[in-house]
Amino acid sequence: MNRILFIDDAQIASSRGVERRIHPARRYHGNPVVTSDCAWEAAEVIVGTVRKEPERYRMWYQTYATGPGRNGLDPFNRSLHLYAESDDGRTWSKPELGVTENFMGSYANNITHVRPTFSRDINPSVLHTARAQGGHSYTLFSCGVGHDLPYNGHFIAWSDDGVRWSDGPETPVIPGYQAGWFMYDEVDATFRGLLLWDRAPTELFATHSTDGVEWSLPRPVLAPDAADTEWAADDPENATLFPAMPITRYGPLLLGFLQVLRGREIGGRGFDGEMEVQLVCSRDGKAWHRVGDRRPILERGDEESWDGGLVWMGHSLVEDGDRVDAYYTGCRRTAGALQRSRWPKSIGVASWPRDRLVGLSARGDGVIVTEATVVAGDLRVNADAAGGRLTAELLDEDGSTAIEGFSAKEGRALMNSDSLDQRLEWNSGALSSLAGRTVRIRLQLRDAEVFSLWWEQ
Amino acid sequence: MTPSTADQSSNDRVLFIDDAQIQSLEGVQRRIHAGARFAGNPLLRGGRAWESDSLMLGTVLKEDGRYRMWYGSGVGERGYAKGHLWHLYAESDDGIEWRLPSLRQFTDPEGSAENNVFLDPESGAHQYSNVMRTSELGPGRRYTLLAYSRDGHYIRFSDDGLVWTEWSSEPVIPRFGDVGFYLYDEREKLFRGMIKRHLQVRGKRRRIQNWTTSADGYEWTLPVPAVIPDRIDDQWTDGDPDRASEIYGIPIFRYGPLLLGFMDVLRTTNARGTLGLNAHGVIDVQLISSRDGRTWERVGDRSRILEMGRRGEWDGGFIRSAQSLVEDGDELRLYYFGMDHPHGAQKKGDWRRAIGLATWQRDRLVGLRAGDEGEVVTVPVPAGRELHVNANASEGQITAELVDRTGTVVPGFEREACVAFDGDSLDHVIRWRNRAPGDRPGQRCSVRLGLRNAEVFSLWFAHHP
Repeated sequence: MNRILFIDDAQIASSRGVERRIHPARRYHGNPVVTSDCAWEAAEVIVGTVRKEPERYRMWYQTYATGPGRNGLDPFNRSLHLYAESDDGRTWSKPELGVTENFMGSYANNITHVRPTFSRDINPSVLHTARAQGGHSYTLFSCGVGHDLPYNGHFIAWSDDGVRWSDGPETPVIPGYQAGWFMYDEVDATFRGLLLWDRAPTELFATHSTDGVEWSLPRPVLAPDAADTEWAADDPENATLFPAMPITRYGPLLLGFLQVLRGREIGGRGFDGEMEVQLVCSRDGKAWHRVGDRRPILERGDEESWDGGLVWMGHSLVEDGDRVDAYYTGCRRTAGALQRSRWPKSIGVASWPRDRLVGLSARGDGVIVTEATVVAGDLRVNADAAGGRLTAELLDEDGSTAIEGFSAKEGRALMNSDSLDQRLEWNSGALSSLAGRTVRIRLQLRDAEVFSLWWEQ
Repeated sequence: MTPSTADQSSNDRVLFIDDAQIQSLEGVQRRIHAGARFAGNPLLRGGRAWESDSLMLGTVLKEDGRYRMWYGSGVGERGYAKGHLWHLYAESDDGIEWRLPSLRQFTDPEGSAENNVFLDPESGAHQYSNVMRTSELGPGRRYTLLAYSRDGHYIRFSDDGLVWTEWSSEPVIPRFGDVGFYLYDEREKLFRGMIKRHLQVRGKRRRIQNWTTSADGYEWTLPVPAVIPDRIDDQWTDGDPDRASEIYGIPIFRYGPLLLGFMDVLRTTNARGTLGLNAHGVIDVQLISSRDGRTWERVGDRSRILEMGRRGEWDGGFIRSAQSLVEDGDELRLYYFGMDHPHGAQKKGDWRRAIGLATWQRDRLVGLRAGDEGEVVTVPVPAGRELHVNANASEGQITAELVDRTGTVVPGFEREACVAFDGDSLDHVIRWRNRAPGDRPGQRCSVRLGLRNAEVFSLWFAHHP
């Protein structure tokens, strides 16, 4: 947790001559990676969670299935939670799990979980919770509605293998809220949820829990502000909605992928408009901040492409060596397609080089001084200084004076390349002489961009 | 003899509102007794210079021999900001005749401060004032007020219930609905709330009441539904998807060992009224109970605990109770407000809401009644010096015997040795011919009552000398 990221200002004491730049993810050229190609899958497949585990990549996704029903009489309308695996995160297979019957009466399918009494059971978040209270390897949260349920809300289920699930209480662990996105945070052993209030898809609430069953009173954390609604130009029919925000831990930060929908009611089609994904972040799960100039962190594809109308993030940030992958659902049609399960949707992947979602960039000269940090090994930097240079010096704890031997003048702490992991060194000696000492890091940039700093033992 | 206050509030008092203190029943039926509406109703109408003619009730407390009422005046034709209430205060010596003191805190639209307005009308609070006596919270917080305003439920504190000096800048319960009732439960030292939200129940979006608790009034637990309307509640709809039973509000009270809720069941149709769709309907006030504040039970056959007036009367269209159950000696008083139109109905001519009173005799909200012969056996309770019952056996009789934990009748306390009770008393001491329960200090026993054409409401052992 000693990584310094520049996504927010929390680890920056001061800066000058730099601007925060958001880097949209690069969409994989082989997208989509998962499409609807099984008889029990409806036209749409929507990504839930993707995890990289030691043996394989695992994906939990969903479809809203319709079919004639096994006896030809009862219609089969329900949300199915499906499962896929991959060796490389790009080529996926759908194993025959043999755990759930499909509408043809066969178990030879990849349906991992279905609640027969639910008419809709959406937004599955699969959490790895082996270290959580209760000790189930996996915990599933989803939002259920159904005529035979006590009432709607967010339900829990548990699994030891991620494939066979046992449902929790018959009543929701969180009553109501039209949708929710969940994570388990190993840093503070806390379940976290972001919820969308029942009637207003404009306001997101945060809640937390130690066991996934007893949750705190959700508190509002994000709603559209003047910058979000400026486009509406006082037309009361225009509105900005926040219909979703998956959350994940990323180093010292919590990241949220905020779906921002600008649109209006369109006769016969419901609410529709332009949707994009923006980045938000938090240090404590309570206060969430918009990042930088709010440029999209994931962009739609070209107009005619499979994801040209809509991109919709899953719980799917996967740190994979030098790469960070995000899995998302795409649709050729615009956001109103989310209300229509018959409009085809597929799953794709986009990625960033490690830590390069957001950087601090200087055109010309810029300076960044970090908050105090404890020397713990070598100092590493992730930066692009190929067209310029970056130098570093270490300051004393209050930041007033360069530490002798570790000033910029004494440095080989010079970088003029593009590297995800560059060691910073000084002529005068090894950093080991400062081990355990609290310092600040002062970076000087010229035509360069820095993404992260960290100590490495 | 009159039982001491300690006896009345004791955990040892056995009430028959739920089954928690009953070991077995035979030949008896649980009966709900609707409150007797006071002949002189309504007690309070609006219409003064700073009021509209539409009143809503917040809270009634009895303190040091004085009744205190916090109520609200709805928006009238006087140009006040829509959605706001005047929050008003009244006092009474007998709970019947009310006076409106001049509080001189806020200037009314006619430029005078000689009024009973106790909360800044600009505060935006537009729902009932739930005022709780919270002396234990210390100076500055002897009274706590919780009310919905704009975007959630806010808290305020006061030393006298009139001048509110501290309040939350953010809602302590964000959003949820505009109906909420709150209780400070002195027994458990915590705040309890029952607040509205909409949930999908059997394919229909409905108003549902949710319980929540807080130690300090600021940090509340996730509200969880207390009662979900079931198919019995929906029977009247005949399967019409445009009709549904909803839970509109539940004022909650501590009553001896129990928590009681006066639950408003609103029967809605999709007719469009002044409050929009799905708001038009009549209300049944039914009783619910809980031992822990989490699990709530419907009481008996769900008959009304408070009846509406006849059509055309001031309370013939809509009634609601509030945080307004007052225990006063041998009487239980429930103040309520009523109007002559159903909830959400299109306004026709005058639309008035006024405040009235319903009463029960102590403990007589719910009883167990036997026709010919019946038997009630309590769970084991600590025996005391005397066994008291609140019962009506004026057309029959009641006898009792004491049973030890092995199920054996304690010698000397057989039914045959009991002096049968054949009267109607809120507090009758059961006697045996040869022994008194005081001979068994500190022991626990069950009480087995034999009833013939009689109804029992409560029993307790007196422990004082």
